[in-house]
Formats: sequence, C-alpha cells, structure tokens
Amino acid sequence: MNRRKFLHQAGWLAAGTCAIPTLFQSCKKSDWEQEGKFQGEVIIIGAGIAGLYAAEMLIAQGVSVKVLEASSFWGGRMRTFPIAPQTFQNAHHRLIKGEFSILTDLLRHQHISLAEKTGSSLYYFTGTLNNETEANQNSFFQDMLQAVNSLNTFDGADITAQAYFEALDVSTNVESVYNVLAGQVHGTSADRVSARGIAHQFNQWSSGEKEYVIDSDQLLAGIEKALPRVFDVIQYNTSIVSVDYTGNTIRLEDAMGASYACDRLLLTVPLQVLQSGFIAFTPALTNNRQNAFPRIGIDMCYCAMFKLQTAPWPLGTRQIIGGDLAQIFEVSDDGWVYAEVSGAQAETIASIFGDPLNIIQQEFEQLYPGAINQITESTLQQWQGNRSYDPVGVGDAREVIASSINNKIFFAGEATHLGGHHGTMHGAMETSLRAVTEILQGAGA
Amino acid sequence: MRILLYISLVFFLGEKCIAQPVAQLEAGYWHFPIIDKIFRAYDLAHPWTEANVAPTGMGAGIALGWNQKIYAPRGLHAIGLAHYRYQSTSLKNAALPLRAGFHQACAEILIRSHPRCLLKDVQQTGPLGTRWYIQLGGGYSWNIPFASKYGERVYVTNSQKYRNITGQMHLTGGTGWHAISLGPLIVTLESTLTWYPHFSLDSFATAVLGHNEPRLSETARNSLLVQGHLRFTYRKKSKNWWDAPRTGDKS
Repeated sequence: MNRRKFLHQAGWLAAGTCAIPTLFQSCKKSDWEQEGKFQGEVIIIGAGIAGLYAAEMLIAQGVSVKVLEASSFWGGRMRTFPIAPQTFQNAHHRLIKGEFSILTDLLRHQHISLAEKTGSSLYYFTGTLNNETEANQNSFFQDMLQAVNSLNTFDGADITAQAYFEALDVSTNVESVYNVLAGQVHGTSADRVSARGIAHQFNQWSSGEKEYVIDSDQLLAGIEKALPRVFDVIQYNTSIVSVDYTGNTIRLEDAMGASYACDRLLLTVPLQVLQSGFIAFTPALTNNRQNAFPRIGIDMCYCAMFKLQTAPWPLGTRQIIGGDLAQIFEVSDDGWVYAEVSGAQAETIASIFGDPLNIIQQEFEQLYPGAINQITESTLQQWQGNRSYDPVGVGDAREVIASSINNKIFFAGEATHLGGHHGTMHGAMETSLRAVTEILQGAGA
Repeated sequence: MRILLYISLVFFLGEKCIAQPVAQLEAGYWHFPIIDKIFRAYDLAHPWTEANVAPTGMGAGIALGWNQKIYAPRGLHAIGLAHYRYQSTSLKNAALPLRAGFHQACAEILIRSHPRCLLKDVQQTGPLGTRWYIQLGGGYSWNIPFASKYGERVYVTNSQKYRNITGQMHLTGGTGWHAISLGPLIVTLESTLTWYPHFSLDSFATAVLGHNEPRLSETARNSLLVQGHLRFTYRKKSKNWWDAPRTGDKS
C-alpha cells in the first residue's frame, strides 16, 4: 500500500468513526417529539393526585389542559378530612409505602423529610390488650401471623383471605387481628379480598419496603409546591354527567348544563363513580368494560378522628389492633386516635341505627374503659369508596379499565394500576404517567 | 465466580497455545433507543426537576484475548476476545440522585482478512496478516444492570435488590489498521459496529421508574454499539510447543 492509498483509507476510517456516533445522536434528540407528540386540548376529570400529576406532566410538555373537579377542593382521597378543622389535618398522618416511588421523589425534591414508621402495636384479643411480646407468646396469634405471611406466596384457588384462614383453621379468637392484617389494610375486610390478589400485589410490589409517615398537611403542601402550574387550570364544582365521543372532538356536559370540548379526555375519577354509571357515555361503553367496573372491589369507609385528654396507651404505641367493628386505631403520644373502618365492618356500622362516630368511639371504649369521657374533639368522614382491592374473580378487570377507548378517552387512578401498586397514592401517580405517555405518543394509533 | 474461572481457563489455554495475546482498550457509543425511552419516561415523570437524565451514550471497556493465524496465504486470522464494558448515566440533582446503567461481559470470535486476500493468495503478510483489514464475527454478551436512587440500590420486587442478569447474541463487524510496532507490541487502531438483534435489560424500567410500566418494553430490537479500539498485540518470540522440532522431524 502506498502512502497516498494509506492516507485515503485512514481518512475514511477516521471520518466514519467520528461521524457514526453523531448520526445516531441526532436520532434521539427528542423521543416524544419524534413520535408525533400530541398537541391538542386535554380535559382531565378529577383533581385527585392522579389528575393533578397528569395535568402537571402535560403542561410541562406544552399541552393545553383543563381539570374539572366535582368538589370544591383538590386532592381527592388524599384529603381525609376536607371539611374538618385544620387541627385534624395537622394531627393526621398518612402512610407512604416504599422508598423508591414518584411520590417519595416529589417529596424529597421539596426537601420534605420522610420519617420512617416506628413505634409498637398493641393487639386486642380474648378480651385483653397485649403488647407485641405478649401477643407473640400466644399460640393462636403465632399461627395467625404465620397464616397471614403465607398469603404472600399463595397460589391456590381463587378464594377470599377469610376462606384461606378458615381452611388453615386459624382461631377465631384472633379474627379481628387477621381481618386487619389481611383486610382492613387493603381497604376492605378479609371476607372480600382475594387471597391470590394479596399474593399478586405482594409479588408485584416494586417501590421498596420502607414505610414512612407524613403529616397530612405537609403532604398536601409538598404536592402544591411541586405541581405549581396545575392550580390555575382547575375548575371546581364541575360535575361531568355526560361524555359524547362520537366525533373527533369529545363533548362533555356538567350537571349544570355547561358544555366542554376537548381532543383527549383523561378520567381519573374514583372507581365507584364509574361503577355507579353517574357519567353517561355516548356511544355506550362496551359490555366488557362495563362488566369490568364491578369486578374490582372498592368499599365504603368511615374515617374517625378524636383526641383524648391524655393518652392511656404506653408511649411509643402507634397502632392498636382489635375490636368488633372498628378494628384498627392509629394513635399518637399526644392522645390523637385515627380509626379507619372499611368493608363488611363499615357496612355493619352504617346499618346500625345511631351515630357512626359514636359507635366507633364505643368500640374504643372497649379497649380503654373510660376513654370516651376523655374525648375533647372529634370528627368523622364517610367515603363512598376507600381504595381499590382485588376481590375474588377480579381477573383482567384492571387491564380492561386501564385500556384507552379509541385513543381518545384514557383512564388513570389507583384502581387502574396493573403492577400491584393499586390502593396507593404513588400507584395513582404511576397510572397517570402511563396515561400521559399514551396521550403524548398516541396509543393504539 | 464460575464465569471468572472459565475466563481464566480460556486465557491460560490461549497463552499456552497461541502466539499472540491481545489486550484492548475500548470507547464506544451505545445506540439503545429503548433505554433512552425509559430515561425520557423518567424525565416526563419528574416534571418538577430541571435536570434531565442523560441519554445512553459513551461507554468504555477493556478486552483480553488472543490472535490466531488461520491461513497465511489468504491473510486469515481469528481473534477471540473477552470484553468487559461499562455504561452508565446519572441524574445530577442533589435532591434526587439517580444512577443507572449496566456492566456487560462479552465473549466473541472474529475472523479478519483483507478483501483482496479473499480473491487470491498474497505473497507476504505480516505477523497479524495484512496491515489493513476488515473483520466479521459474533458472540454472546451478558448484561448486569444496576440502578440506585438517593445512593441506595433499588429493589424491583420485595426484598430483591435489582440485579437481573440477561444475555443476548450479537454480530459485529469492523475495520482496522495495524498502526505501529513498539518492540514486541503491535498497536492496532480499529473501529467496529456491533448489532444486537435483541437486547434486554430485565426490569430496567421498573428499577429506574420505581414501578412496572407496561408501555415500556425492556427488550429492544436492533440496538447498536459503535466502538473505537486501541489494541495491543504481543508478538511472542518463543515458538509454540507444536513449532518445536520433534524427534523424527526431518527439517
């Protein structure tokens, strides 16, 4: 090879080596734009965490967004006591599960400290309150805990958790405890949640194992600060009753008769709104979709909060489990009690003639006689739907609901989560990411 | 550990049997749109952060192997290489540090020659064949992904720290030039293009995003790696055991 030839070949080699990476680099300047980013008008129904977060992402991408909210406040189910005095908001702590989630990212970015859940539990069974050491010495309790833990690997027939415990002959002495550990923590009771559903959720969980508690007020403040652009686009007291997606433009009508139009619609309303048929769709939703709504469980719920003059429980106690109807009480050292009752127990309370708050407080009186006379302030909130869970026969209902309609109507919200994070705030946010990705990329187009 | 033992064995045999051990430094550009898509999804999911995750891009690596002359008149040589490659990207944000990428271990075999040598025999070639050459080959690589947030390795499922090893075939081609001889070392400059028909990083989207995102496939088709290599080949002076005169040899 002569010198000229060598220089010629070496030149091509060098040019090729330098140019090829640059060519590839130019291919990836913006994946969203490259795939034909959607630029039309989007209406989001619901200003819960799913709706707000979806709106922020869309606004950040330059999409025109409007959020229609039926109530007069944002936050949806994040606000357990929306109409209660501020003291209840401040005293109430929310549980955040998992250290690796979008929600923890959001809060960390706002420099909001996340305190790991600490403290001990008391268990009420066989008529006495037991601390953890005492409870663990009880053979009924040990068997029950083993049965609850074994649910995580359950792969048998589609039965309820209650049926599973009965099959294992778990003592009814600790029924209220397992009803909390396998039912109430999922927003229902053990006789409704599917054993396979619990195992599925456990095995799909991918947000880490840590649990944090955060002041409810601080949580809302963090969200408000992190999503600053959405609050200008929320229209409150707007309850959508009909959706017509016959043409290219989707037409909505609210309960007052006002009309709205958009190119894409994102529904983030709670599942029970869809189940109730409150929103009429034209053309009607497919039978497959309509049948999927009731296959996902979501139960009514009472959230009661009251303050005792002094805390009768040992310092450092964070929850008291046990009771007939109200079975889980979160407590603080300064005397606050928060009780959440879902599922069959909530429906029983609703069916009893009397004030539900009083019934829940009477339940607490069983654990600490005389406590009811110590109450200085209290409030109650009733929710038509707590959070979704997998009942027996859920099948592919979540997949059906999560799918879009004609690439025009999209669904988000914790009930549409497909990866085991349903029933959580960060799960709701993750479904928004899915829906926004679909809107931006044109799912199914 | 088992992989390390295999590699040691291969190199031991290579060193004992083959004349020309090879060490190689690599720098390259990864074109993996699917991974970039996961990072873009992360950016989309964090509208409150100003910083974006850098897309996959430059990575580095090293390789060890041996060169084997196959047929001198055609300038045919084979080269076996074991690579270690590293690619990572990070979000440099004090509140939300994210680091994600993968290590890759790879074994491949390449055949090289000069195009003209394929048509007719050549009279003279150097110890590594023709000075300029083209090469083709293939191999198998194992990806060992990692992801950490806030300085902690992430989980993908309960109690399982993220390290899901995957593997795939690849084809590679390139061209090079034996640039200079430095004593017993021959320095070669080379550029290659590696094609991964399927490239998968199991649960990578889950690790980066914190949840299982069904819209993001974790297996990509037609991923590419463009690399430049600086290779050092050691030309041993001692003959191999089969070159030593044996009893009964006439010459």
